[in-house]
Amino acid sequence: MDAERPTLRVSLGEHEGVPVARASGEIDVATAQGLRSELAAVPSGTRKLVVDLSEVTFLDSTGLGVLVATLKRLQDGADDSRVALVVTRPQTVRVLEVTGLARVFSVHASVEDALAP
Amino acid sequence: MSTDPPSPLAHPARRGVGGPGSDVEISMSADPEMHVLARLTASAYASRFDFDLDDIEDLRLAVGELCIACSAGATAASRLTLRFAYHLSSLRVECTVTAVASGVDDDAGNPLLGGLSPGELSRRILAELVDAYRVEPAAAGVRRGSIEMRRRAAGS
Repeated sequence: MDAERPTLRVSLGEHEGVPVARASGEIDVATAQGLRSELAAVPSGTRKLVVDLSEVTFLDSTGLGVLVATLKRLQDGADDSRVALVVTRPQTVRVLEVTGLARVFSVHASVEDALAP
Repeated sequence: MSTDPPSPLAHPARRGVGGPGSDVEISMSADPEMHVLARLTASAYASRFDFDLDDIEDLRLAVGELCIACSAGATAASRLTLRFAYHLSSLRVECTVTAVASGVDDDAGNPLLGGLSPGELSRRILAELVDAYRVEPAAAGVRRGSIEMRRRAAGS
């Protein structure tokens, strides 16, 4: 089963004071908790969080729910908090668009773009 | 007059034209870790019928959402069964999950999702990606759902 088991790796770093989470693999109902746990380390009120999804090969509604929940938690501490997503895979862009979440997050093609003020 | 045995390529399941002979059914635990098998099967099945890569990706995501929706209230004893069928350029996936707990409501607005329910996100995805979908309320411990996706004509 290991060959079929979805895998997700998430790491959290920072760039000039902005937290940057990098995810790779599949974010689904079985793995989304790993993303939730990592993003939980970002304090409420953080003005900007970058989540790099460029190496994510699958993203379902559960993963989207984690991202929305993270944004809401950050905004509980500061209304103008935002989550910037780095997305390069067309299917990930598509799922953000069909759910209307492309308007909720800022979507960028690179981490550099996402970090720009 | 000799009668050659029918070519195995004449079988509908091998010709890629569909019909009852090409149906596939898989059954597994409803554990979320197993959903990846459902998605892999969906991809492989659609590729047999010349769905293009974008459609296969859409189907993979849609089947994952169907499994999530049908598994609301699933227990350790729950079994998830998927039946794939292709006929007249339309691929249909039926999902059945047994031993689901009653009264589980995935439509409850989750404050962590800004009032958006997990079911609403799933429905938005399914409504956009497939031609038809249906998820029934659980009845007698069983929840059923289905999706249908038509193969687009080449060049459309």
